[in-house]
Amino acid sequence: MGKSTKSSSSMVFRSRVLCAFFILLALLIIARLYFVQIVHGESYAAQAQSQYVEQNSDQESRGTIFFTKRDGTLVAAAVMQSGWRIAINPSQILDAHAAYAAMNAVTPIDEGKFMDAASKKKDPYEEVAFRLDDATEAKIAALKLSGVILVHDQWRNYPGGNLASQILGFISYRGNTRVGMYGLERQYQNTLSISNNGLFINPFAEIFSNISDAVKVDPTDGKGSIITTIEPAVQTQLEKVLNNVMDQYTPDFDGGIVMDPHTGAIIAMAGMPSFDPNTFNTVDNPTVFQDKLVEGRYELGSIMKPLTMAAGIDSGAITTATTYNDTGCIIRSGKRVCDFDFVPRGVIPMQEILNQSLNLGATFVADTMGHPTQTKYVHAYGFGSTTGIDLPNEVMGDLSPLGNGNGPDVNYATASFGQGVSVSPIEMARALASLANGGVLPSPHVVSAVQYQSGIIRAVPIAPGVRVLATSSAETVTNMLIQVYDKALMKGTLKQEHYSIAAKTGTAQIPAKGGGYLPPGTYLHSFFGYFPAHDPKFIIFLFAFKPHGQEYASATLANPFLNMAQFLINYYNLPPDR
Amino acid sequence: MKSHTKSLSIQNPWERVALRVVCVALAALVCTYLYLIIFSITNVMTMKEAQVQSQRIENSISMLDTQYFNLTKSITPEDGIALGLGSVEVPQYITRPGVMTMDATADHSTSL
Repeated sequence: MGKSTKSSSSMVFRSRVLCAFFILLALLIIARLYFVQIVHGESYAAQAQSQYVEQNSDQESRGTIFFTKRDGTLVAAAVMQSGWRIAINPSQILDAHAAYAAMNAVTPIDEGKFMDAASKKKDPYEEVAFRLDDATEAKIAALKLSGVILVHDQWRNYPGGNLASQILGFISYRGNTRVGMYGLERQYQNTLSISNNGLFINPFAEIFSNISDAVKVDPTDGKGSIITTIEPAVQTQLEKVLNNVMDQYTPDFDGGIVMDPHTGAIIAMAGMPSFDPNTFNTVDNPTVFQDKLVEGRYELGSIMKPLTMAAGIDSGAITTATTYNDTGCIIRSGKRVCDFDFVPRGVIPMQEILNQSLNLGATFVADTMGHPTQTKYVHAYGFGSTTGIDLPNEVMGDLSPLGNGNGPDVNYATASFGQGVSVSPIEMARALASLANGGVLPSPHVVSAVQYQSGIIRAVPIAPGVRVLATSSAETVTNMLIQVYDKALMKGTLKQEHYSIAAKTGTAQIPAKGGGYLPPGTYLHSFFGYFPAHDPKFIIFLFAFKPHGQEYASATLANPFLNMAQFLINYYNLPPDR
Repeated sequence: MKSHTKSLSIQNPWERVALRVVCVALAALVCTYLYLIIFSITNVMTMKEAQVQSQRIENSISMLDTQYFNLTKSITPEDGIALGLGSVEVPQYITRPGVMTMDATADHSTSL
């Protein structure tokens, strides 16, 4: 009897274990049902419509691109916007006119396009309206029109319109995938494109992913938004200044850079004409998409002379007390090299080479230091290699006429005043910034940090600067350039009593196709300056290609430079330094 | 034969202990698994809501930033004057003497 009781209780126990097992199994199946129906339900429903719509690219989100205001707050420059688009199944539209009238009363729809779409009875899917907000979608859905499909839409919005368009770039479709074209959208395509293929199911996986973001060696390997060094108010002002130059002197194009000469942070960078990335598909001339400051290469002319002078002083070949005999013109390698006005000036000091922008003076400095040394310095300034700026398609300068310093003399003569060798504007701006940065080349960059989806912000490491000149050499040339601005440029009329500004103009001949140069009257104008000269906060570089109505850069770009400088002084409350 | 059958029907004393240990471990695993499932479900629900909210906020940010840029473009110097602000075209500069030029005869003593 006891044995029988024992075995029956054991049997009951085992039955209960089995019951518990089956209940557990049922719970597992219910949980799985939740994931299939609730968590992934929308995705499966969307896939059911996959015969009409490829949803893959819409599942991809994209990080935001931020400007940084002077007080550190972030302003969105490129952001994803969500909404809806209307599509129709023409075979299910009972009355096209009635359907159009009903929907057009809610949101404007192109009638011709709608009727054309509605007439394609064999086509199961035709899109008729885009970028609708939630309120409009709700009203259209409430109409309950047969054959009308509302599809979730996502698009890239650039709230600033034209602002910094060439730096930002835009996104477009490559096949079924949205990719960045031009600018930061392209350069940081991998960082900005974020796949939304299902939510994180395992929160621990999300934690590990966030830890991984925090310890990545290169922050741009992670996915998220990018924070730029562009200041929107400065960018707006720079574009206004460049537009005024375009209006006044109608160059083919112009451009400008405002940069921190110590860190290489690009505060503003613009080229005109530009475009609105929100409507890039309406642009007639796609060359406006290119950032000519990075992707273009030009003979920039006399703006090279301060660098030649700095090299001469740094190499010990000359001092500020050195003089030379200016004869107006000289012969090098059988070719005539002349000052801009062909006028001999006799014995004059080094300062006058910069004050009067004398080609023969620059040639003298190059000859005195020796062509191999000159070539070494030109390469040291970073010409002939890329700056590493984080924008796509950067070109490097063409220094081939210099070779290894043993080429024809005329090549070194012309290179000393910025002709015969071509460099990109960003290369030139960086080289000139070495004068403002104690002889050290900064590393130009546009992006300062990456913000991950978790909220972690990581600074992008910047390459350390390279020393090109002794600090004393840079300071000597700075003092010379202050003299240029205070006394020589436009006869000293632009001198700022309480702010020291170091600056120089450049008026360069433009190479003609097939050799030689374009006729006189067709020039490339350039201007650079940094201030306050002895502790510079900003360097500004401006250029205009084939301006009309004025021969020299001092006439076209000096006042725009001062306009920009005064704006920066007031906006950043720079204290006077004299 | 009888002894063989007999050995099969005898319960090993460690069997009961082992069964208890396994049951406890199974119960712990089940509880942990249920906790993970509930935690994941809650996390997914919260993430879903957060994503919808995040998209709405992104849309707002986009619209507000567009307004911000449009407004900044429309500001003119005349607007500043209308607000009572002065022009920066003619700034006033003052020179402040340094500490060393303070009046040396000033009485800095204090009385109790």
